[in-house]
Order: sequence, then structure tokens, then C-alpha cells
Amino acid sequence: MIRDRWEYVRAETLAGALTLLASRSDAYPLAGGTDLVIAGRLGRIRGGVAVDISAVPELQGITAFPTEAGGVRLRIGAATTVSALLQDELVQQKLPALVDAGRLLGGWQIQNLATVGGNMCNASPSAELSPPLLVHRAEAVIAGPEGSRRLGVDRFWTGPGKTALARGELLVAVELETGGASAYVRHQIRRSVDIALASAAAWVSVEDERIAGARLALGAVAPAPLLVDVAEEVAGVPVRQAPGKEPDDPGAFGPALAKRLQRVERLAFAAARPITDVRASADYRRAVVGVLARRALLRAVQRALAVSEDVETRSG
Amino acid sequence: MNRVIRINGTEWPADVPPTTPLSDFLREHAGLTGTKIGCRTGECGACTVLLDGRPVTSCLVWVARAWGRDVTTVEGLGDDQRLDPVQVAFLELNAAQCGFCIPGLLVSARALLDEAAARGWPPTALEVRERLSGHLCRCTGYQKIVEAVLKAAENGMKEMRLELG
Amino acid sequence: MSLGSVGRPWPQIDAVDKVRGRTRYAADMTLPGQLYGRILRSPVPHGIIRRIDTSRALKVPGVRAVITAADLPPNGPEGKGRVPFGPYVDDWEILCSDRVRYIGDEVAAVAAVSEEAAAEALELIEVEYEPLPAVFDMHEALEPGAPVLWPERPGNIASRFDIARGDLDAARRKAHLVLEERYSTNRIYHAYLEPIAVLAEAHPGDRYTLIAPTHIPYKARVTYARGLGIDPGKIRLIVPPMGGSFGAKYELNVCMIAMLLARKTGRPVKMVFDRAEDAAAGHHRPPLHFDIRLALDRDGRFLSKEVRIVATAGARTMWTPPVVATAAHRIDALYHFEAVRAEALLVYTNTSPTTCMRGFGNAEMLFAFEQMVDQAAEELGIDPVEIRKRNAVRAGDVTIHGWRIGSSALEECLDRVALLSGFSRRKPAPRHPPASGKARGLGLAIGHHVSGYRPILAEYDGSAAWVRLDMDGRLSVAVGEPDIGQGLNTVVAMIAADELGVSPSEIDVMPVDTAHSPAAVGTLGSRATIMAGAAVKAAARDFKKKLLAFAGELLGADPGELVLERGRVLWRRGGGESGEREGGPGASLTLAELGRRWAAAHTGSPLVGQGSYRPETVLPGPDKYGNPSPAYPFAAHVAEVEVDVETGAVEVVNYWAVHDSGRIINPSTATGQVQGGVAQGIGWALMEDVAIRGGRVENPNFLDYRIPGFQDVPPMTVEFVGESEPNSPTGVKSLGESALNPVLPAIANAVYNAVGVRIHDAPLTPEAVWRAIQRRREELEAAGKEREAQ
Ligand SMILES: Cc1cc2nc3c(=O)[nH]c(=O)nc-3n(C[C@H](O)[C@H](O)[C@H](O)COP(=O)(O)OP(=O)(O)OC[C@H]3O[C@@H](n4cnc5c(N)ncnc54)[C@H](O)[C@@H]3O)c2cc1C
Repeated sequence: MIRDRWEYVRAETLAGALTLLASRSDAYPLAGGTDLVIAGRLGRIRGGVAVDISAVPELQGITAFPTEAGGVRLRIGAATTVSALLQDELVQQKLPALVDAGRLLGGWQIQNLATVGGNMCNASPSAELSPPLLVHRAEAVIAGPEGSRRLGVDRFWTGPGKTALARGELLVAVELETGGASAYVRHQIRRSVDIALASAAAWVSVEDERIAGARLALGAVAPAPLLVDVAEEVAGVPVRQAPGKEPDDPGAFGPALAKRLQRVERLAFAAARPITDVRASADYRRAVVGVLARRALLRAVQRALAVSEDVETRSG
Repeated sequence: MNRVIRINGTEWPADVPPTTPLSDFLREHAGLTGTKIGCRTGECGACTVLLDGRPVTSCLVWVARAWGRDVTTVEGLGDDQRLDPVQVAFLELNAAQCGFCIPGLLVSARALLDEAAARGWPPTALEVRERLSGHLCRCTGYQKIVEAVLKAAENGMKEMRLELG
Repeated sequence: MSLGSVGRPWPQIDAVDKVRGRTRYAADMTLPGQLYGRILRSPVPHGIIRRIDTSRALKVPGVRAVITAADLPPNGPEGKGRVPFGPYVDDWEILCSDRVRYIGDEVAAVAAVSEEAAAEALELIEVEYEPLPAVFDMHEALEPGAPVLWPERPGNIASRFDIARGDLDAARRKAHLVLEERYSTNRIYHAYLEPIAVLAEAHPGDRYTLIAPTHIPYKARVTYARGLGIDPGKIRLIVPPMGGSFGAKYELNVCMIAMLLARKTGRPVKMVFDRAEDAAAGHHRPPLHFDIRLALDRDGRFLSKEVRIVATAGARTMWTPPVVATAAHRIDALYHFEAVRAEALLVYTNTSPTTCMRGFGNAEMLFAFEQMVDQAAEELGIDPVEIRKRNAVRAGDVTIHGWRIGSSALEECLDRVALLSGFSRRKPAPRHPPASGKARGLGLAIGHHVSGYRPILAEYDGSAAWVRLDMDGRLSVAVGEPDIGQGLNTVVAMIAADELGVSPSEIDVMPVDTAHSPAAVGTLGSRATIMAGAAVKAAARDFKKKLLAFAGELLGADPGELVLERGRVLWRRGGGESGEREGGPGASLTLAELGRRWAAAHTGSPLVGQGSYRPETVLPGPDKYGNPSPAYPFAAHVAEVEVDVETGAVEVVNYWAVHDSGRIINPSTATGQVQGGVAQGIGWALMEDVAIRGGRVENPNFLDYRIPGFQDVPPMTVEFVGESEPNSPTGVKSLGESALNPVLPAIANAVYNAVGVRIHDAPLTPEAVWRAIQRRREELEAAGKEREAQ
């Protein structure tokens, strides 16, 4: 047992939190505590002052607002718990990859504590929510002593445990685009309460049974989650549900996509820079992440088709 | 902030260092040793209690986070005369072997059944397995636990409380 | 006879406490004035202790004692000097005197008024180590020039086991097929949910009270007494409810450390491991390495089997020697061979000491052998069920080492499991692993075990029990075998209840306490139900005889006319009439009344029935010929798996287990035993592995040391077949370990059936399966190229 020494203060407002965080160099925001408390207990942090931000009003809630292009943007407060995220109807409809990931994050008890902001700021290379946020082009809303700023999440994670947040800065929320369909898959050894050995999130939009846009992000195969540019590989590829095939089957949406998926797999393989650790070896991670990339894309396509089918039946 | 926690319906003064783990507070200060400690890192689920009705691993929750809130431990299920239906089902089906993981599982199962009662239909076996997956058990292979939760759900969800023999 | 409880599903008699959170495990107990103890463990895998300075630690407020090897009491001959001791090999020290041998070795210990103070003191103990070269791999440890852990045991050999019987040459000469294979099983962690916790109190006159989990209290205190240099009778060991053990909580150094801290401080001391400490320096299942040569005739009959085993003891020897012996020859009680030979070495390495775990070497050997049986069946074109039937022992058989098979329903197990699982739908394994998608496969394996094992305590086997009626009418039963969570107390209560005509819930089963329980070998070797159950049955009969005689005296009746049912003694003759009057047919006395009147007539003494059971076993002699167990349980399992051929991930999607355990006392807890055993087997087969690098356990937590969760274990079908065992007074055999034994090979055989790849090394992690598939593809490709070239 390591003896960690924490002081505890509760912030009531964003301004108050920022003041508290600025007051000491060993101040840490405390959200759900599922990473921070353990880091203290295992001696990764010696303690300091824990600034409880879980009740700060500015960090709460999931809200939707219209965009200029006529779409919907979602704002997810940093202190939103994973359970709250999973229960939100808009998230369920618009951000399926985030739901896939949230369901895999810890067990129920952890989901009731863990927050979206904590997952992002803890910046584990295997963090569950990062790949979905990347493919949904999330933006981090950050507040600090100097005021607030926005940053695309593709620039948010800079290494294991490292983010672009400056000392004293706080993640207030993430905002994401909706539209298109997405999916997230992870490779694990235990089917629940496990840490991803490798993971992949994919986003696609399908128009007239052709892929119009696609994005892919990988987790646990580099110091930080990776965006892999696959749009060109799959743009314009016709997709149509092939009868009698499982969605994981590369041929599930026709031979054209199956062929392109091989290239996607190779891109993922090439982009990955995994390490060997107690959980898996590097070459295995690399081999698996290609498979995951392909599967995530297939599932996203399946969801995209299901959605457009829905729309058709409804309008027809 | 009032340094009080309502534990199983009773107010408990909790004027201890705010970063005391809730699990330690329950066991050492409130005398509620039904809540077990299996890992102190949130991985085993043995210390699970309900915080405002939701299961959490109490080893990761500092006491300050529970001030002013409701905590339910295994001791809060049923009462002196009666067992909660989920306890009855665990007992009847021998869902407990060594019993160490059981208090945490029972409160999670209670929360799951409350949730199901609120929405109006009972949980499926797959749902039970997903929801309870934050609990490890080394003895039972889980099957009887799943059966017990389903049986408790069938037995009238929340209302029915069986008389103790 | 009233409707008995035996044979019906019965809730555990202590389940009410368990579901209410009222069961008090060791960590839940607090003794007045109690201190908290903690252990300082070696951070280096091998080294000489040059200096220990405890002065700064002693200054921490609240610290009451710091002890090192210098504080150990003499335990040598005539009470002088320190000598090593241990359950099998004398290589234990309590606290390291001059040398540390693994990361985690006990160097010093602290007792303080709070856990925080104890932890702070640990950090302030200064130890200077001079590092020595270390060896972590058992094969390397056997090489000449390897670092030696115990100079008095050259070559790092902790123990060896050899056995040979039959004419190997003659048997081999008849061979049509000879398989030579190498298999290995890995180091796993028992991973009980309750970390090790003990409480100790020291009393004047070298006496101690120890509250500590153990399967074997009477044996453990002998070891502890040797360590402390005292008489075993000076230790009162109370066994609290156990939060799981599976073999780990037998004999633990921490118990002696707690006793010494209690002695030094004069206060009770409680010690609770944290999970990382438990997982790294608690104890593990030993890794075993097998080289096996099996010769068969054309019909698939086993002729000869030669085995070489190497196993890891770790830094000292716990309960691994008998595990290795079991691995070497227990399979000879499942199958017939004309000739066998086995040699096994147990090897020291600078790693955490290993010990026994459920399955006890037998599960390891079955992992290897049951795969070889499938290999042979495939090569010879024989059905996997059939080849097993051809070779398996049958009721009435005497095995090559003299073991007598009193009953066996193994054939029925096989037929039934094949039917339940639809085994006939099994297709041949593919020659090429499928390119993509998920491949399904079915795998069969059988297994067996003992029901108690005589050589564990050569003096005697068997059990004693007492049934007692107190003056308040309370009925209680005492046995010497602790309930380890499997429901032994319930089974014992059911057996007693049926003899006494009461409900099991009316019987208290006393916690095992060496101050007043019958002495026993304990709960190991799958012996508790058969041994304690038979003893209780005998005790209940003795009790009943005494009770009826006494009631007869009171009522003026012939005891032969009295019956004991529903908590009362009834004068039956003539029957029919009811009446409360004393002295005529129809009269009755309640147990409460009888208890009171017995006590009054015997100046307060309770009415006690005593009974014991001595099984008809034959202690194997130096030639290892004998019959060590009264009964042998059997099982046949089928696993159905789905292999993700692109990632190597294996999912067990269906599981069927059919067991012959003799008579089943409590079908509900028996089913639970099998389900739990299968789940543990699934964990071992697919995900569990203690990762040690540079002597350090790298995954001492449940995120990295994964045991199966709710979603990793499929719904299982469990059935029991077979009849009462003739050699067992209650008809039972055993179940605890046979539940686990066939699981690994059933899964490995199913994986082979799905993808055509045989995995020789447990566990079958996704990465291991993926690599095996890659290798197979490369082999096939190379073979294809060769063919083209020709
Ligand atoms: C048993 C268990 C299982 C787990 N399984 C998974 C899993 O499957 N996948 C996964 O990804 N993770 C998993 N985790 C890790 C953890 O639960 C998640 O990362 C969680 O989302 C962290 O959120 P939190 O609110 O608890 O963070 P906290 O512990 O409160 O904070 C984490 C870090 O972020 C900082 N921080 C928090 N909020 C902010 C903010 N708004 N602005 C700036 N900094 C902030 C904190 O100072 C701290 O450094 C698991 C943890 C446990 C204990």
C-alpha cells in the first residue's frame, strides 16, 4: 500500500475551479476519480490538492444545438458520466460509436463514476472514448486562467498521459458533429472490464448507396490515439447489403468495398506504432488493429444503410 | 457542506478526513462490514454500494463525495424480519458459495431490478450479465447468480418481500 | 422415515448470513487493542542482506514493533538456534536471515496502531542488499552453472518423484503408433476474492490464538509450531469463514509473522494483504512442463506411457511436491497402461513460491494427455468417445499401481455428454485454418480424481465427528474439515439431519477451532464430503442410540419401540394415538426436553454422539503400490468454442459436464461446484497467466490478471450420473476437483477441432492462438511449395 496524501476541495463554479487549480502546482481536477484515486493509491501520483469539479454547472449536461448547415451539434459537458452518456437519447441516435465505447468502459459501477472529461484528460493511449471522438471530429472546449479556447481533439492527445491542456486549464466540454454513422470495436481478452489491446472507430456517410465520406481512428497502437486518413480509399465505393452475409464478413456490402477494405486494413497496419507490454506484443497488436479497422468500417456502413433504410421507409 | 451521509436510511455523521475511501468509512466507522474490500482499485466490485441508487465501487469514492447523499449497503436490503426478494433468490438458488462477492452483487442486482421495475419489463439474462460484469466471482461460474437475479425479477420485481422462515 | 433432505437441493445453511452481509471474514473482525501488521518484502529477486536498520521506522508515531530475522525465536533442537522448516522441504525461514530469494520475500515486519503508520514505517526500514545472479526459468535453473538458491540443495532441485511399473520394452514392442509430445501449463493465481487476512494474539506461556483461513488447521499449526519452536498444542487455530482459497490458503508465512508481532507487542495483530501483495507474493499454481511418450496398438489401446515433468517450486517449497507427484501418475487411475514410467523434478527459481491449487497436478496432466488421446484417435481413425472407452478403468478394476476402482460410471458420463452436446455433429478438424470469420469446434475430455488421498497424512486417513445436544435443545455438529465456501457445512448438516429426523436448518455446524473440534487432515484432496460426511453419519447414529436409550429410560419404553422424527422422540408401538403423557405408546419427548433432562441427569453435560470413518485405503509403500483413496470420481466434458480466426480470440459458447460423483447429497451446491470449476477452467484455458519478468509479477491486479467475468462464461449444462459408491458410507465420492480437471483439454480439443491447430502451451490466449494459426499457415505454405518444387 502506498500512502497518498490528498487534500480535497470542492469547486462550485468554473471560475472557482480555475482559481483553485491555479493556486497550487500540485492541484488536480477530480471528476469521477476512477483514474485519479487509483493513480494516488498505486503511487503514480503522490497526492496534492484534488479539486472536485464534478458539480461545476458549466461542465454538466448534454445539449444539442443546430448548426449553420442545418445539422445538429452536440455538446457534452466534461463532467458527464459514462452512464449519463449512455442513457442520452440523442447520443444513442447520433453517436453510436460513442455508445459502443461507453458500454465497454469498465463495468456499471465504473460507468456511474467515470466521466467523459476524465477519460479524455487521463489520456491513456487505450482510452475508450478517444477513437469515437476523433471520428466524430470532436472539439474540446477548454477554459483556463487566460480565458477559453477550442481545440480539435486530433490535437488534444499528445502522448501517454499527456494532453494539450496547459497547467491550470480545464476541459469544459466536447462538441461533436452528428450525421453519418459510426461504430467502435475493441480487441480484448476478457469480454468486459478489460483494457483495449487495440481498438478502432469508424465513421461513414453514405449517399445513394455510395460511400460519401469516411474516417478511421485507432486506439492503443500508438502513444496517442491515431486518425488514419481513409476517405480517399473508400470514397465513392458502392455499398449494398449482400444477402445472407454477416456484417463482419468483408463481402457483406459487396465486392467493391471488400477490395477497398483490404487497403484500409493495410493503412491501419502501417499507421500503427504499437508497443509490447504485459497485455500484448507489438506485432500482434498491429495485426489485429487492421482487422478491427475493417470491422469498424463494416459496422459503420451497416448502420449507415440501416439509417437510410429507416428514412426511406419513413418517407415512403 | 453538512458532513453527514444517509446510510441505509439513517443519518451518519461522517466528519472524517474527506479523502477517506467510502468503503473504509463504512467498514471502520459505521461498522458495516458487509461491504467487502477485494482490490481497492475498482476492479473486483466487492465493495459496491449504491450512491443515490446507483452502484459504485466504494473504494474509489471519497467520503466527501458522499456527504449529503444516500448510500445503500447490503445491510440496507430487507429488514430485521424480512429479506429482500433478491436476497431470497440468491439464498434459495445457492448463488453464493464463499459469499465474499455477494454483498456487492446484491446491491447492484437490487439497482438493476429497480431500474427494470421503473421501465416496466424484467431484464434478460444477457442484460444481467452485462450490467453485473463489474463484479468478479471466483466460486460460482456466475450461472446461479444470473438465475437468481432473473428469479427475483420474476417474483414481482420490487414489491414482494418474503417472510424469513 | 420422514422425507429426508439428502438428494434434494438445499440452500447453504449459512446463506442467510452471507446474503445479509453478516458473515464475518477475518478482515471483518476487530480485536480490542488490535494493531495492524505489514510486511517489508524484498525488492530484489536474489541477494544478500548486508544491513538492516529499523531505527527510523521505530520512531514513527504509533509504531509498536519492527521485527527482523534477528527477532525470531529459537526453533532448533533442544530449543537452540534457528533451523529452516516447512511442510514438505525444510526451506522456510519466516523472515529472511541473510538472503532474499524472490521479489516479495519477507524481510521485516511492522506492527502499528494504524495501517498508515505501519505503511510509513515500512518505507523507513533501511535494507542494503548485495545483488546475486538470479534465475527465473526452471529449465535454466537446471543448467550447470545456474545460480543456486539453496546451497544445501545443489542443482536447484527441491524434490523429485519417480515411478515405474510394468515392462516398458515389451509394451513398446507391440506399438503401432507412438506419440511423443511436449506440453506445458502455466503459472496462474488462485484469485480468490478475499485477500489473505489473519489475526493473531499471544498469551503467556508461549501460547497463541490465531484466526486464519486454512484448509488444514491441524496440519498448519504443526508447521507454524515448528517455525516458532513451540509445541503445536500451544497454538489455537480458529478458522473463520473463507472468501475463497482454492488451495492457496493452506500454510502461510504471514501467520507466524502475525504471531511474532503479537508476542513482541503484547497486543492482537491483524494483517491483511492488499491485492497487489496477494497476487504477487501470495502463492501461485506451479508451471509444469511435460514430455510424454505414448505407445498405442492398432486398436488404440494404450501400451506404455513415459513422462518427464519439470515444475517450478519458486523460492521455497510449499505444497508443490505432492502436486508434481500427482501430475506424474494419477492419470494411471483413469486409463489402463501395460507399463508406465514417470520422473518429475521440482525446481527452485527466484520467483514467488508456488503451491497447490484445485486440480492438484491432475488437471495439468489431463491438459496434455487428453489432447494426446485426441491426437491418437485422429491418427488411428477412432472416435474420441470410443478410444476413451477402450482404455478407461471400470468398476472393479485394479489399476497398474494397485488403486481399486469401486465404482465408475465413466461410460455413462461419456454417452450422456455426447448425447447432450450432440457430439456426433462434430466435423473433422480443417486441414487449413479458415481464412476469415469465426470457426466453431467441439472438444471432449474426461477426467477423474481421488476422494481423499491417504499419503497426505500417513498416520491415518478419515475423519471424526461429534453430534451434540445441549441443555437448551440446540443440536450441533463438529467436524475437523473447514467449509471453504463450497457448502460442506450444509452437506454435513443434511446428512446429520436425515439421521436425526430434523431439518438441516436446525443443526449448527461449528466453526473449526483446534480448541474443540475433532482433529482432521482437513479440506483437501476432494476429501471433505466423503470423510466428514461419513463421520457425521456415524456420530449421528451413535447419538441417536444414546438418545433413544435415555428417552427409553424416561418413558419406560424399549428403545427399539422409539423413533426420532421431527425434533422429538416418539413411542411408536401401537401407533396412532397421540398423547403427551409419559409412560405409554404415543408418548413423546422433544429434543429440547431431552436436552434439558439429559443435562440435569448428567450434571450439565451435553449429550454427545461420536463417530468416525476410517476408509479402506492402503497406504502406498516405498514402491508406491497401494490404494490411496476410497473412491474415484469421474467426469466427461464437452466444450463448444468459436474461434475468431483473424484475432485468435476463443469464445466458449456452450459447455456440457456430466459427472459421476457417486451419490449427490445436495444437487444444488454440487451443480454450483461444477459451474464454478468450469469457469475457473475457462479462465485458465483462455486468459489467466501470471506474467513474471525479471522476477517481478507484472500483472498483480484484476485488470491485467484477468479472471473470467459474467460475459466470459456461457450457460452450462451439468448432470450427474452413477450410483452410490460401495466403499463410501454415504455413497458419495467427490466433486470439487474433478469439476475443473477436464476443462482445459476439452477447450483445447475444441479449438483444434475448429481451426486444425493444436496448442501445446496453456493458456490459449488470443495472441497464442493467432500465432499458432499463423505458424500453421506458414507450414502449409512451405509444404505446398515443396510439393510444387518436386
Ligand atoms: C475497473 C476499471 C475499469 C476501467 N475500464 C476502462 C475502460 O474499459 N476503458 C477506459 O477507457 N477506461 C477505463 N477505466 C479508466 C477510467 O475509468 C476512465 O478513464 C474514466 O473515464 C476516467 O474518468 P474519471 O471521471 O473517473 O476521471 P478522474 O479520475 O477524475 O480524472 C482522470 C484525470 O483527468 C483529469 N481530469 C478529469 N476531468 C478533467 C477536466 N474536466 N479537465 C481537466 N482535467 C481533468 C484528472 O485530474 C485526472 O488526471 C477503468 C477504470 C477502472 C477503475
